[in-house]
Amino acid sequence: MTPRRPDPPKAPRTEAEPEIVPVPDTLRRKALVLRGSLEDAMAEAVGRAESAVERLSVDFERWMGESAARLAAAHAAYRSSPGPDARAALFKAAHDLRGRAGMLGYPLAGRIGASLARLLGDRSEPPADLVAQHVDAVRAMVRQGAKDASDPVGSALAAELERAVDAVARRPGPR
Amino acid sequence: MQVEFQRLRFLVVEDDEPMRRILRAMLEGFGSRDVFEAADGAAGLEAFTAQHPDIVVIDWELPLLDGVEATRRMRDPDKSPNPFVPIIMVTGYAERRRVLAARNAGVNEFLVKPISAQALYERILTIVARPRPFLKTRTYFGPHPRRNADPVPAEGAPAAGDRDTVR
Repeated sequence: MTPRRPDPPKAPRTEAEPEIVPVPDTLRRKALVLRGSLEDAMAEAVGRAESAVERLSVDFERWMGESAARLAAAHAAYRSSPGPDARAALFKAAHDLRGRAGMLGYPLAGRIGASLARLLGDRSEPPADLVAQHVDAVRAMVRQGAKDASDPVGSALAAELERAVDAVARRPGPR
Repeated sequence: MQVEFQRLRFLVVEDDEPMRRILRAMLEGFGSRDVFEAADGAAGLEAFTAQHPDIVVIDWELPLLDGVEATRRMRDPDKSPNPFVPIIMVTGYAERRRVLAARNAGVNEFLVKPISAQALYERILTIVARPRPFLKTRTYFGPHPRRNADPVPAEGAPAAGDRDTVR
């Protein structure tokens, strides 16, 4: 058996080398207490948080209506004057919808917002009719209260729009 | 073991008002009494300096200064009042490249909307109970990308290609 060669001496650390920096233990000391059951405390806190969010739900429909209206307004501005700023504003409206809708109980509208954001983010010149179909679908869903997978028509529409965006993404063209 | 939220100060930086209200409702539901809000990245940095939050919850897409750039400034070891502050990014972006970019800016945790109260609680618990050491390189100052790793990794983008960075 060949004897193991000793490790070469380590070079002194220089400023350019990565360095592990210990984190001050401030929060642990400040807010972590070692008593009671973590599971019970978490369940209780999460339950209180969910109840607090539930109390806000009276406003969810109005907030979704505002989102759909903002998306429609951004789309109208983009149609009348398509340019980078208008496209960015439309993307932002779609992106906000993607983030907001699921939290407000409208996951189908969130899917369509995500699909539109993908289309706008992927293509410099997205097909105008497909963009419009996304916007119209969101407005219809919010107006008719088509919220989630329990709505077969809304689900089919969301899936169809996602497939259409997939097909566009596969096409060659300017991005 | 439990987290005493009433001892923690939070800063929520989010331009969407309903989202701010939902995040505030969750944090106050957990027990926090000090939840500060900002509607854009610049106001978020001001509030970060003025209010000394223990934990920052920040969106990616923000007016004036986006969440990634605001995170970089909060992490600046020479200029930030608290470069170690835990930062949770809450965003509609789910793409892996976005997750990695946020990690490379120095966020501790990444949550994709829609988020649940349970997921937010778990991230805060991780931050408080299992704080990760920081890594300092020429181009990065922030949480070590590997949750349990100790050895010093190679220089460069700390999170790129590291499967442990995506939960």
